[in-house]
Amino acid sequence: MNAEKFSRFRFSYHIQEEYDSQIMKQNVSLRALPQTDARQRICALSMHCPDFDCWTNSDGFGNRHWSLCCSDPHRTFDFTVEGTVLLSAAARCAGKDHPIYHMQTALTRPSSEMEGFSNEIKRPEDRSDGDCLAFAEAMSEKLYSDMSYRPGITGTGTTAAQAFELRGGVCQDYAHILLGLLRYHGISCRYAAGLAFESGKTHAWVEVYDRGSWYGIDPTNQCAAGTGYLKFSHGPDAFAASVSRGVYCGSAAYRTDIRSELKRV
Amino acid sequence: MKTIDDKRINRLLARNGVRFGIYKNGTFNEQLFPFDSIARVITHLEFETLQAGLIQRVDALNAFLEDIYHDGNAVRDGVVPEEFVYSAKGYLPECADITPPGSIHSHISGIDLVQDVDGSWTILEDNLRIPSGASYPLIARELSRIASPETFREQSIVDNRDYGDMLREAMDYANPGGISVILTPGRYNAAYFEHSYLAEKTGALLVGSASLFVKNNKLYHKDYKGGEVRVGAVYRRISDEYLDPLTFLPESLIGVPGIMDAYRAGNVALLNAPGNGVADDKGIYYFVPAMIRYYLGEKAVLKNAPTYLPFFEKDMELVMDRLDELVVKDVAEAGGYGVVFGSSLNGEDLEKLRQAVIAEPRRFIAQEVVDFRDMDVKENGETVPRKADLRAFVVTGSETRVWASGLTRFSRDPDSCIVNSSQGGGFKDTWVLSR
Repeated sequence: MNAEKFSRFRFSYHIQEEYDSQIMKQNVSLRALPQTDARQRICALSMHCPDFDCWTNSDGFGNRHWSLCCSDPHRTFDFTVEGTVLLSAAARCAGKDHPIYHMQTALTRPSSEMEGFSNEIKRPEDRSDGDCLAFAEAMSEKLYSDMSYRPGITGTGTTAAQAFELRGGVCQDYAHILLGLLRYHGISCRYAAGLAFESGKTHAWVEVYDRGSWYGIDPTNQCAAGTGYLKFSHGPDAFAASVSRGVYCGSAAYRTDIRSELKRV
Repeated sequence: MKTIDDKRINRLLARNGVRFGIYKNGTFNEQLFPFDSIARVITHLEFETLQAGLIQRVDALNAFLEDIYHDGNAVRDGVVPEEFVYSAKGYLPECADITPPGSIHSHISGIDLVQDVDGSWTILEDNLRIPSGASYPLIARELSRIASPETFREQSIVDNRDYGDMLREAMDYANPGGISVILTPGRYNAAYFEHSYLAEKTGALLVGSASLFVKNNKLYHKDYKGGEVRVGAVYRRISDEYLDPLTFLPESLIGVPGIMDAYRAGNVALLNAPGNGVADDKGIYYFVPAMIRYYLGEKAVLKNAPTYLPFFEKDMELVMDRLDELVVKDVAEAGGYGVVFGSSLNGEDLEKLRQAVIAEPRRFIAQEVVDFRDMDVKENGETVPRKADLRAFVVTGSETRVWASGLTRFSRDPDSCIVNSSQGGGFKDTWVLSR
């Protein structure tokens, strides 16, 4: 029997873009379509995006996304998804591993400095024996004590090596650095994006594969990603798991406003 | 035997716009592709062996692609090391778990071979992404038939004008419903002549990405009147990374946003499937004979050039010992770039190469220099020997077939073994004899 404790949450994710002149042929792909798994159960879900055609699909990593398109001239994009979910207190989710999660990407590849840093923690002797998680937790703790949370000093394209050099950044940078350090030791791990902590922002953390399950670790807050973490997507890095991507025809400048919420009810 | 007038054919080729473009230092230049009228002749018997070997090879490569984008049995069973698959530049995790119509990933395969001095054939490389070049022998034959009809009446040469039909059959077979199109990035692409010529030969619509759009996981073409028609097969002549800005490079302007949605949903066939680069990687080449054994339970009919992978320790030792005799290739490069003959380097450059191989063993392969047969080429009225290879075209639809022709490319530089058109080579027609 599954005796894990679940709590009920309401969530919403809202993205609004305004363009200073008319644009055409806009296509947006939003991985804001959370899936039911062992640690999150989607109870109700509704989506609203006026004037856009919408359909859903999945990607190669097992995420689902909304595809939205509007060919007519327009000046706004206004998308809302909301729902209720049951979130487990445990950070564990049974699942399958894939070799791509042991491979470094351009965003996670460690510098020699990072390799040196990671070697200060004792490697797991036997990967099959399941001390990957303990090792990952120790690494996350060490990273947390060495880094400082500094919004604005990094961007979406900042690599793990660059952020490590600065010893600072935001959740994306913490996650990339931890991925780089763990993969350097042959541990399978992936980038997770979603909502967390009753905060108004999207968040990123890391999932580590150990004994047939994925375990969420949040290096930015130095805790397990248990209650209060709603996952939208995962992938080898932030680019692959990105929540929103889009293109449009036009030369307009735009202003983006993203608001999200995750609240216990 | 009547001979074909080189000058006349080259004039006709120029008039028909048979060109290919080259980007060099940021500028685009179109060049004529010099034609040499002395055809490569492949006997009937020889072609039977070639055919059997090529069909087997392409079937195994297709099985490999289907496998690694699903369960990865070949990796689990140790046929191909994990590092050569999942960290390859051509492996696209975005394509995982997609089953293309008919499980065909490589519909049009361009396999490069050379004929050794002893007459046997050696595979140089597989091209499973967007192999180009079929249009050149196709139009050269058409023009040669006009210039010298007797040649083709008097000799038993297999007609090669069925390439358009073969291609069309592959598109129709994979098509789950809708029209077939050829998607071109436009006239600044190196092979634009080929795109337009093959559209003419297959009856498929030649389109740019601006006239395609995706709605509800289906692909549509919008015509000049605003009419919309469903598209079922796309012979796309743009590379994977530009195909869909919502999945791959976001800055791509030549792709179709959402086309991966339609493809994943099984509503459109992409020829060739995205992600094929993992199987024509120069590193994967080494494992193709093992794949043929693994998937088909057969022995490879055509041989690979003796290849060493510095990735394996024992091969690294050998490569270090004999670096000055081997040819070293960068696995990430194509088109004759990144190919270095150890014998052509001075001490300093050889040492540089050595260090590069040691630093990134996975990035390089080393091969014995294949002593391939010279072919006669006419140059200023004289016949001179030049190095040449053959790109055979293998088309997979309801079955895998080898086009009874091919692109024979030769080096115009007597000292060079590199025959790629982007490196200034010329081409010949390839005649397969019917008896």
